[in-house]
Amino acid sequence: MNPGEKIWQVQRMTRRHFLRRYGIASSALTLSPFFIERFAAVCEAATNNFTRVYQVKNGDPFQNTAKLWELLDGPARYIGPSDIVVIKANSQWPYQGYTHTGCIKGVIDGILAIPGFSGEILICDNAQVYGGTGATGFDATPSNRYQNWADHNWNSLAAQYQAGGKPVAAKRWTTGPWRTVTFPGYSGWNPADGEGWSRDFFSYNGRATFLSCPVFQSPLTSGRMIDMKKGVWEQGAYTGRQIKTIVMPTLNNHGSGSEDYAGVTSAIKSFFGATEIPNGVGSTWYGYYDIHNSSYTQGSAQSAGELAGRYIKTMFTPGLYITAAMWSGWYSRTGTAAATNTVLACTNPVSLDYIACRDVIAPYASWLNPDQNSHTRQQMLGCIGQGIGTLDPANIEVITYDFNHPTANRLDVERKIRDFKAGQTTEQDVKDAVNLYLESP
Amino acid sequence: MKSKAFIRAVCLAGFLVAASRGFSSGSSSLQRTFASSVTLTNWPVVVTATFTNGEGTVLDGLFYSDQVPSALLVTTLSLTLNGIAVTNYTFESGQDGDVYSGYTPCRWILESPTNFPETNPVPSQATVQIVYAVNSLTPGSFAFQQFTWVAYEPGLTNAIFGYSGSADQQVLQFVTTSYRPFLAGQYATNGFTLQIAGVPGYNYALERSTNLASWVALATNGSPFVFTDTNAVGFPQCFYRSRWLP
Repeated sequence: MNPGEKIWQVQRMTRRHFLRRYGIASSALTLSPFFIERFAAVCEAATNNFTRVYQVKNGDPFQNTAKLWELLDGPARYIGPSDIVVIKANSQWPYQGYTHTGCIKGVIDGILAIPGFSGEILICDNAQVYGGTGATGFDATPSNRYQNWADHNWNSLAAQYQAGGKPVAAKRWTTGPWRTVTFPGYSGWNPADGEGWSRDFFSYNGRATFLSCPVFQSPLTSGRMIDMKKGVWEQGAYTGRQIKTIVMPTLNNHGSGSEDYAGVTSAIKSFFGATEIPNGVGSTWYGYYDIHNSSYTQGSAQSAGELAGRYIKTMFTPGLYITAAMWSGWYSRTGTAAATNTVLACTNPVSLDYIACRDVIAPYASWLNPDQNSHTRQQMLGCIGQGIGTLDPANIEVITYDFNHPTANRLDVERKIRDFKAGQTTEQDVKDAVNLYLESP
Repeated sequence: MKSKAFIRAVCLAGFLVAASRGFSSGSSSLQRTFASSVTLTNWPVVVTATFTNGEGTVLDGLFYSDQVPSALLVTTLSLTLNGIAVTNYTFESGQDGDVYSGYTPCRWILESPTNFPETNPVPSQATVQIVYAVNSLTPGSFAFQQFTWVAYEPGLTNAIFGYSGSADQQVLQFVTTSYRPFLAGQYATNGFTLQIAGVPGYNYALERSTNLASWVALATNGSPFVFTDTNAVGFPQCFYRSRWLP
């Protein structure tokens, strides 16, 4: 160190970043006097705590999702071989308005390849009272698959899997039934009573509001109830079997053009399809406000983020979010879209939406730039206020793979060596990865 | 003594442990050694990784990665190329479970692609030594996972890599057991004064080394005791250890 030079300058960091990263190590130094001088010169913590957002672009939906799983170190890192997997997608609108079926297939194929997988994979959403016949993700007719995968809608995709003996099904959650409640309070649904919803009633900004999560019959196994909050229920009892939820949103502008009604509709907004909105966005249900009526209907995007955050904390917490942005409806959910050919993943919806907006859709629609104050940003801030995610770029690490410019990083090389050591790949594969790394900027 | 800053004091309550060589796709090798297998919590264990370029050509793009138990803290002590300090290397750490569950990759990068702007090529037969300390704030046993290294022969456009063998999966134990001595030191007008504190009345040996390989006995006494090494000024650097004598 030169006289007057600061430790963080030597480390090529900001002071804030240095303190955040090395605070724990620094506290140890006071107890190890012999090492103070050396530690002060080159002090490092073992683990970085950046939020990672993975991004794959310019492949087809199957290439993109396969590569995304590879960057994520495989689905087995998130899903056990006997888990029930719920892919909560966005179904409500045609064209790019529903989650790209090819991306869903790519994600499913990765899960089915987990050795010994014996669980179920269920493609789910509550399209509310909306979604025209033949115009949702579940049942989109060929003419409504424009800017989506032409070969299948979700129902036909699931049917194809089942015809091949694979445990995949599509399930459209349906609202209700209503039952009287004590306000405020929680009303859990008993799976013995068939399909229903567990509901949380609370006061929010002076309004009696509710959130709900579904309990539904597995389309694949008779008598198996999937309680999104409490787990798998069979033969009168919860079995302890895990439900793993992957949220797979679209990436679209919710308004028309630069109209800033609800900002971007993506991972955070996806929870609007995990709860009930029984009577449309501007109505109450037995006097209670739903998530939409207590947020966007009131003109508050921040409330939408707050309520989505509350949902994640009180109902169910997805393990992974994968945004299917093969097409990005920068003008609207069903209007003009750009072929962005991208998929992204993260373990929280805020950082995912932030990077997807900033890097994928905002280049086509500047009003969706999350660094500007807008409803897009406010819904993120609302969710952050519930302790979920970050939109601070200094705390986000974006790992990108571009099929137009293939690259590899040091982690890719290490994993490849690990796999070689385990006999799962060849020496030449490792060398190819090293060569690609050495050619990567 | 050239400078007080060169005094290097290390408490080594255990013994030197050598690790085996693992796989190499070329003729180069990397060896990782631990200065101790048992130490006190909040007291570092020095790890030395020594890479030798056994190829007949210079190597570019060398990086070394150790899969460190995620509960441990890592501190770089030095990085040298043929004994000369390298200062413009890059250290980076990954995240828990990036490669192995419970482990965090810690990487020392001598040169980064694509143009290797750090200009730290490793000549044929040259040695790179990376010395770092690992430390735990809580007691426990920590099994190390594999290390890996990667480099590139530019003349042959050939990537080479290697990793440790199973014998290298060293277990480090961090203990709070009281018979482990605490060793503290300070500069004195006539040398370097050390305070040794273990179990009161138990005998402890104090030893000094200049190379961490051979040790010279300085004193044996019942805990606690104080010793001033008046010969410390004669060495550019030295290490001290204290051991309980059962």
